[in-house]
Amino acid sequence: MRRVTAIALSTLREALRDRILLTALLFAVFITLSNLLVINFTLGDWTKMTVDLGLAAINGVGLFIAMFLGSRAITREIANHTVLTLLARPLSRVEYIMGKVLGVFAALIINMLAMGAVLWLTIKWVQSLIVGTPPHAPWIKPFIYLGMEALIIVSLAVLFSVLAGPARAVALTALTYAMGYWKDALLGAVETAVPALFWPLKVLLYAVPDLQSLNQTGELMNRFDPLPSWSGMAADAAYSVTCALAAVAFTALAFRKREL
Amino acid sequence: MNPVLEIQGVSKVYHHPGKPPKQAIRNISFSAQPGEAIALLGHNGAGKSTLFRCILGLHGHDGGTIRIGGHPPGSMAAQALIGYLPEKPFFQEYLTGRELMHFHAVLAGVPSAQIEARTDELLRRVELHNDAGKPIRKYSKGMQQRIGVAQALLGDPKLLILDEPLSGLDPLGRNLVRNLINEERAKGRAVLFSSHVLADAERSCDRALILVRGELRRDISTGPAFAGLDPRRELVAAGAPGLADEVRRKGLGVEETGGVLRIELPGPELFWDLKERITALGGRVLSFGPRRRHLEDLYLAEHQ
Repeated sequence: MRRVTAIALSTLREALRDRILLTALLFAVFITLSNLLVINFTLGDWTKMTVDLGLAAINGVGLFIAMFLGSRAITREIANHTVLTLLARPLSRVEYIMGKVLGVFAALIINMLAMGAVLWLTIKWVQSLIVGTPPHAPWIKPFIYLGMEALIIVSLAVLFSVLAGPARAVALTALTYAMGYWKDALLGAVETAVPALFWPLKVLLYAVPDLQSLNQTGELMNRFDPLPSWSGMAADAAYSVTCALAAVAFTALAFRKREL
Repeated sequence: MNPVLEIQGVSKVYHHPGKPPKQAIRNISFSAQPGEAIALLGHNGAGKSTLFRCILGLHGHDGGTIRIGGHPPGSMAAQALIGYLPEKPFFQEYLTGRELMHFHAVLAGVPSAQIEARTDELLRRVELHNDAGKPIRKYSKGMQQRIGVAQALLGDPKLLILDEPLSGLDPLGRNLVRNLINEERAKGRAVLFSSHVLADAERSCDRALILVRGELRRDISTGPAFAGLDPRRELVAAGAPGLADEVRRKGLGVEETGGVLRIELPGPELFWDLKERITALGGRVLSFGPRRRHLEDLYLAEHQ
């Protein structure tokens, strides 16, 4: 565990130096603050609207960072040859991969917490500006779900980068995300348009993480279903960790015979 | 004594899509004992780095066996016995020298309580203790090479694998690393290193292995008997005008510098005739003895 932690901390430090992270953070702050302009022209529950737009920004930016940092974490180290001195140590490739995934995930969480803090301040500001705004909006739980989703996306990006290189990894991760996120809609569309592909697609989608069930950010304003209980969230967290571990295992298999 | 490294009949072929297979190394066999320094010599592309990477488990090999302390390459037990300096020491450049050492100390399994002391000791040995707080991106090439050697020593390895440890170093740096190799050898570590600087390699190794196009052509002991094995003799003479041309006509090798002639004789037999001739020309013999044999001679002979 000591070695995994060392790799994770080194990866975190390298990720925090990446300009992508800062750019993405600034973009998310811009989007969140620009909500203030939007709600001026809108009727309805302004706090919920701010939360919806803010979480959507965090989700989009988080997804972008997860794909880019995840896809470059190992490939950049191979290209820079820094991987040689690391894997010449008594460090297994599984430990190395776990450290990389955890390091990128930690960078992402720090980034999301920063964006979450901006969102929280924005909500407080909206509440202070507009009299009669409800005291809170249910945004903490959806925010935690974004973290679960990020863990899966990072581990997938790392897996695809080892299999196909960094550029294709971004595309493959985005495709897998879309398939996992719009599973039901995709199956419905295929069943209507090309019925012959319905079952092959359904079987394929079993191998894709069910990101649909982890989506708690959309449509908070019009939401009728209650948010998951804390025990339900624990089960969902276990699911996302299992998906990430499976991706790490596949990455380790692909990376085991890789010549460096 | 059990060898630290045993290599038997190891080969490696690279397969790249759309290209014919490339045999990088072929049927290499040798072993390294504790306390032995072995120089791996060969031109660029001879297979030195490939062999190192096979030993480290970074590359698989196609035939033969490799054992490090009895363990297969790439296993945790084998890696724990190895300290490695890659050909170009690429490190995370934003880390300071001390941070890099701490990071690698953890990976090498140095107990937490000993990391600081071990780091200090090694930084001092490579004379970087005053620059330990600087980021590595501000290090010169020579300093990066020295920190690379220091990190290789962190885990108290039984086998040091140093890929071109003397490259990029000034004469003082080369001397420092050469001494370090000799000290580590004296402590009982086996050292396997590659070098293009043959004179330096000769001064630091017990054996030299010459690789030519992936094949091990020579395994030379460079111990005290090394110079004596050469039957050739060298005669140094001065003040004998016209002697150089005469000697050349006889097919002997001669170098002339400022009136001093260095004549290479195939054996001791011709000495008396030549001495007589030198005296007749009014010159004198300055020295006569075994021709000093250099690794470079053997290296060049293998490549002709």
